[in-house]
Amino acid sequence: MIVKNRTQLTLSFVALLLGLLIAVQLRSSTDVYSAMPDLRVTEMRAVLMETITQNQSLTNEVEEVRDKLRQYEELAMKGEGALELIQKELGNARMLAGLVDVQGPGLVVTLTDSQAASMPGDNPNVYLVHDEDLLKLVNVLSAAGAEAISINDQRLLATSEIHCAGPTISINNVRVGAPFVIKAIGNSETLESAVKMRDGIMETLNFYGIGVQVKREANLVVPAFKRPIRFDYAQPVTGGK
Amino acid sequence: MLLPIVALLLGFAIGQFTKISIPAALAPYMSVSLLAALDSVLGGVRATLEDTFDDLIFVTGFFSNALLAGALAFLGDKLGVNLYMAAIFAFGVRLFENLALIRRIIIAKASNRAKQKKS
Repeated sequence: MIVKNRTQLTLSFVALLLGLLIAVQLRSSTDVYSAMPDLRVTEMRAVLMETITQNQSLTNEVEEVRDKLRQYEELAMKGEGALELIQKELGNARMLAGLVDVQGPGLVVTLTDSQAASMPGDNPNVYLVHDEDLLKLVNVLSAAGAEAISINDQRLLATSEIHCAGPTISINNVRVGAPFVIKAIGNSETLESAVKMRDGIMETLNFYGIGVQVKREANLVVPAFKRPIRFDYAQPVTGGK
Repeated sequence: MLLPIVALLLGFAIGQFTKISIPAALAPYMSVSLLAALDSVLGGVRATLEDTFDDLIFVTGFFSNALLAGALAFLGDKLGVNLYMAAIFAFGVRLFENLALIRRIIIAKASNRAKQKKS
């Protein structure tokens, strides 16, 4: 009987352990499966938060615009000062169009042709700064929020070209040559990190031996577009939208 | 036979109501270990019914099978071979074998008893 009891006890002990294991395992595996929807939830949460912020900023914008409208209306009723507001608007528009010098913090990027001695058989083209390099760089800067950009003091406008012109590059129909000094006004830190991004424009250019100097400036001046603006073909559409 | 079943339920309850849990990374090995443990227990039940039960063999078998199965699955993962498949296969087959034997023994005992009653 004693032997029988001992058998029972061992069996019971092991059975207890087994039950414990089963319960723990059951809970653990449900944990593993339920981890998946959690991931989705986090993702959705991020989207929701973004939407909320966007909504908030749009609401602010609506308020701003309404405020402006009210100001206009008030001024129109008084019949005075409207000119001042319109002038301010005009100033903004001129700044955007590149018709005035602008200043502010930003980034100065200097591109120089490669100093490396070319090997026989190498294509010398790869050692030069090309229009495409400048286009890419300007694109990167714009993407990083640059508000005004100039290359060798040629202000970039909506109509500016950056085009290969033999050994030089034509910008605003002015030929400029290396070294290229690109000034961009904007958040200098954002601009710098955009240029220096891993696998980004700076690494690509450095790979070809093109010198890239990047310098943050607390205050730099981007000059205005100095040539006359002419529209031979485009006409504003009047009436309607 | 009642006490082990009570113990099983008690263990399950303890596992359910305490907050013991296994890290997610170890859960796959744990399941293989669990299968080995289950196989050991069924083997023990069978041995009891066959009157060949030895508690030392049973207890050591329970722990070593569970640990070895888990370790093997872990090793397989490190080697990039699905070694846990082998464990699942081996223990799964034995599990069903044991179950079948247990069933046969119980039926044989029951029919023996019925015959004895008749005679």
